[in-house]
Amino acid sequence: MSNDIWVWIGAFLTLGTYSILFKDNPVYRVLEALFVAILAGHSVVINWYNFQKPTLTGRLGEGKEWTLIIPLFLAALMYFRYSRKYAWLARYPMAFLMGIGAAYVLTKNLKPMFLAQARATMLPLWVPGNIGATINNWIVVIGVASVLTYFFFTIRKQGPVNAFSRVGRIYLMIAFGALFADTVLGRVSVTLVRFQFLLQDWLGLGM
Amino acid sequence: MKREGPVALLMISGFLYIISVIVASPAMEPVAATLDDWYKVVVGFINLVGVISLTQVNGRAVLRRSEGWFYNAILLVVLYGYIILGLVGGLHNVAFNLIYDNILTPILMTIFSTLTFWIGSAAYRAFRAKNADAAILLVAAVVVMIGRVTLGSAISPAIPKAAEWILNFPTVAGMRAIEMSAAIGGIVLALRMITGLERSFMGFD
Amino acid sequence: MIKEGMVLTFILELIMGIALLVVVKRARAGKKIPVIHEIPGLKALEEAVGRATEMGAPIMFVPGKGDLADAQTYAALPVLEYVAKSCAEYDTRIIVPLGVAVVYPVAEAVTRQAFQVSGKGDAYRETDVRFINEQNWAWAAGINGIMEREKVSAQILFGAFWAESLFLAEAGNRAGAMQIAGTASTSQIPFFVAACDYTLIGQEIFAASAYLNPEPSTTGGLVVQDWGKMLGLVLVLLGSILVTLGSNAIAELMLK
Repeated sequence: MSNDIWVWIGAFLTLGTYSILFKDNPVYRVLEALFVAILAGHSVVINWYNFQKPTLTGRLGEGKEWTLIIPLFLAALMYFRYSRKYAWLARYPMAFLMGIGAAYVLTKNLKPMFLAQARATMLPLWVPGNIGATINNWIVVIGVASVLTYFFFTIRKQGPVNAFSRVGRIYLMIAFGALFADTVLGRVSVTLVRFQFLLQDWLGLGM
Repeated sequence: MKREGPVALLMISGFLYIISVIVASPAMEPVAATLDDWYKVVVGFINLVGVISLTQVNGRAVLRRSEGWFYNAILLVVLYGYIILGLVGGLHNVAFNLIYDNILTPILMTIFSTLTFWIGSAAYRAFRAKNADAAILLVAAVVVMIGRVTLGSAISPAIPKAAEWILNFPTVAGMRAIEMSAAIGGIVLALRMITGLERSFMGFD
Repeated sequence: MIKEGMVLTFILELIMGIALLVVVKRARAGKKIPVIHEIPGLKALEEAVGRATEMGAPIMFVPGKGDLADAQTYAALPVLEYVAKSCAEYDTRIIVPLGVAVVYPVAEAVTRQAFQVSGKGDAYRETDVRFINEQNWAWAAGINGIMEREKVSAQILFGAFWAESLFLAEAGNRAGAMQIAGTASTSQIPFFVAACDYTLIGQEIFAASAYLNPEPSTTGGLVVQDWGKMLGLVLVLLGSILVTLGSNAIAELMLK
């Protein structure tokens, strides 16, 4: 068994957290409160030292970047949300963030998520001398096309369109099953590390 | 000022950013960088609304002595205690880091690891459903799961190959089309926002 | 001049933007737009509110972990608005736990407005829209806590999710809540499909507003989304045929 007090504390915290697997209980509730509080506090402190302080004292104070007053002013308006009378002022910083957010979507998404994916699917439908590769390419092209068809919202799906859309649904189910299984294995390894800590580091059992 | 003002700001800032990213002009180059920077500054300085909300919700529970108020009190004491510890002692303060590494990290890793147990129960329920969709999902999942562990190749070398094939061809195709269609969905939504067609759900009206 | 690498993005989005304005204008002039594809998960939203009302228990609406630069967050907001309005009408409590500080004031404004529009401004409880934590697992643990203790009757998970998706869905299951999820985060869809009663897959979340609030702007958007997918379909098929014939013309065009 370990002589390190922190290992004992770690073991207690691990077992206490696992207790939720059985039932909600006072130990878990205390740990949950600690967990949320420490992380929330941590992000406030990190944000202050790594961002707010250097922005205020470095860039604004020493660097004299006066234009920063504009976003700082916008951010300050957000705190009017706590006033009944002037709460509407908080809409301005929200609007600014939404405007830039929408612009990010418009300038950053089409290429990697649409154009590059379409490009990657433009595969030769006949690979001379390689029937396996030919079939695989067909599988991918038909898969992408049928799933896109599955997502049509305003077109009546009849006859061949309907059949093709059903093929898309089958592709989706295969993909979900495969991804589910693929992820399971990754998760199990995290759990094994926790058990290793309990059995090896804490109890000193050889594994 | 209350309604049209925010919508106008949304449209102007959005269009300005787009133009500065798309147009090849030395004059426009710094505009996108500045807006990027301002976005970060606004986000970085409005973050406190989160802590205020935590304080309101938990403070109220304590004041009203709601069920389990004791835990809300612990949360508040630890939250502010930890903030004070960090702000007074600095980032390299021993206690600040000791708490993070030795108290927070074990809880975090354990919560993450509970996923393994939830995967089992979710899989059980999903695969119990008796329809064609669930059956296809189940077959794909079983092949990939067995194919990815040593058991698979022990049964037959074809199983790991089948698993690889499922992941590399039908799965890739399905995921690719989901991503392509979602990209279009997001872009049309952003276009509706930036052209002022959509304003109801923003809480501006 | 358009920057290199942005030409096609610019052209396609300009066309989509113009198409959107034209379609919406025509829809406003009375042209009907049929919405065909069924999304059972959206019909189930009403059932969820009904169930909550019957049980006298709250509904939990989790608008994902995406920020304001994530399109999925904006897809979740009209659904939040719809659910909040239904809750207000039936005097049912709605809890909205946030994992991103900048989304918190937006979600709060949307929920508050939904109650006010329904004439139930007084019933709105400010602390029910609450920030929990920026860190995924602390946020998820907080939601799990609410689930365990507030006896939530239905959980609606909508937006961008990461590894915590299954943790959230299972928390709902243990509490016996009805669950409706929707996400375009590809790696999380399988977990929602496995664990939830209804799941909106990928682009379906961007179509939600047209189903819940069919008016020219939303249904017009749906038509343009379909055109975009048709373009994708044509590009993929035409590109593959050309590549087979030995030409990379369309594939190269994608890089412009």
